[in-house]
Amino acid sequence: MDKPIAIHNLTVIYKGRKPKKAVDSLDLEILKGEIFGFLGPNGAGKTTAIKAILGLIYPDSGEISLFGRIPGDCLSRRSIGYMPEIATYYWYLTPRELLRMYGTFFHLDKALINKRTRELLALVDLSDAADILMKNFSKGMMQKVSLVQALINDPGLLILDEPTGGLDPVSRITMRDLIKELKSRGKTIFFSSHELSEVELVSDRIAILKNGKIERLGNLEKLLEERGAHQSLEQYFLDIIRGE
Amino acid sequence: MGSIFAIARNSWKEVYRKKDFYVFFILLIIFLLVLLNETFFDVPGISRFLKDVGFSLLWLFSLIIAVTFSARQIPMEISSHTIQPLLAKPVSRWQVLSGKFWGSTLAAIFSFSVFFIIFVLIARLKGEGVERMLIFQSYLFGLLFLSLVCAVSIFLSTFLTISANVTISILLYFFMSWFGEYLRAQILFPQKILAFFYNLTYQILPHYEFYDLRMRMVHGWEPLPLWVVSSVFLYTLIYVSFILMLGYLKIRKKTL
Repeated sequence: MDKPIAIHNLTVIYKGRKPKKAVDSLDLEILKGEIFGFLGPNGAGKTTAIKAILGLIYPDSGEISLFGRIPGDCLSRRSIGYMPEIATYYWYLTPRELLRMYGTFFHLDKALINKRTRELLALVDLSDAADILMKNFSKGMMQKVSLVQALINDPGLLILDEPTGGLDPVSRITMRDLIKELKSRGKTIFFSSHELSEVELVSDRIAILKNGKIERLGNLEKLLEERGAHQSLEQYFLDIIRGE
Repeated sequence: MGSIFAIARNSWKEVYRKKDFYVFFILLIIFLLVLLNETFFDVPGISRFLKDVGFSLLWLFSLIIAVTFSARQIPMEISSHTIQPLLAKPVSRWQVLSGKFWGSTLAAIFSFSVFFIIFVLIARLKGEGVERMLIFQSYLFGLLFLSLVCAVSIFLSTFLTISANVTISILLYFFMSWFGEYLRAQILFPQKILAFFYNLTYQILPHYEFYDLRMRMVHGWEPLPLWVVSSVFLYTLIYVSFILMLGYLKIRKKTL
């Protein structure tokens, strides 16, 4: 069985007067059914790696496989749901219209798109706003739309870039519960976050990225035990980033 | 095709939920109503004048809508980051580019069609209408013209900012409208040193001057023969396909 994500020796260099290695020789495998937390400070290369996984940027070297296919292959994206870090969608559309358009890309029939639209909007408590233009939405509402658009194709792999960024505490808990529920339904979840407490509560494995390189990778509990009993992820993360 | 159509429909919705079209629509109506006045400028034979000014305005307004709309399609997708969830779906960059082209073209054609119907109705009201075949040819050439304008703007948008793209697209239109004939004359009667330069310029630039049948309508000339209409149709098809392919090559590996 092909792994949801397999990355080998991935390097992405941002060209310019001072070329910068945003991702440096990254090796990573995401296993089916796990929740994987991708951590790192700002500029560590998390979003760049995610963009390379999705085929939005082309790596300078290395290989990426999504369910055994290359990211550039449209078919590889059939089983993926992606929630971007910046949740902006077409202001002149309603959530229902947005989901209809995205559903069309997966060749879903109209009845199924309508059914999923109803279910997903109810899931994030946006049923009443289904036919309101998104120009009137708050940041939190856009974040919810961003999540449901990633679920329209009932994907096997969810890639979430900072899913709890900008959410109020209630929405954050809802998001956390949702991630857990999706895992219980057999979904693989790969997410990046700054919210270490959130990561600690839901992740099976984590990777900590620093300057484009993986500093630590493994089972969350085992990694925390490395440094002595009962260390918090926050303290562990800070120690790694500071090089202690 | 389903994905291209879905992207085009999305772009199309932007037109009627924005105010641009309505502004031009009201402006055109006002201009035409003013021109309906028999004593306007004390010009006798106002009907020809109406056809001349009215057609120029509808052509210009459609051009502005086509350019401003198509020029911002791809840059806005990139700057607002909506391109990321879009391309994370099973959609290729070629489908996005094609969808944007069709969306812009359909939006421009819709505006042009509304303007054109009003123009024809008012021209008929003045008594001196236009021959039906010429009306059909003018309309068809308008559609071809707008598809060419949109394709060029979409191509330019793959490497220019919105404002630079709009400026160049409009300048290109006026340059070809005013100097297209001059360029053709230079090729027919070549001068040694500049012959290559003129020839190259003539082959590369889009020939917007092919499409404007205003003078024929104003003076009631004969409609164009079928071979001319077919040639212009074929030219548009080839040029649009070629320029969109160039646009695709430009964004194929672009970091988004």
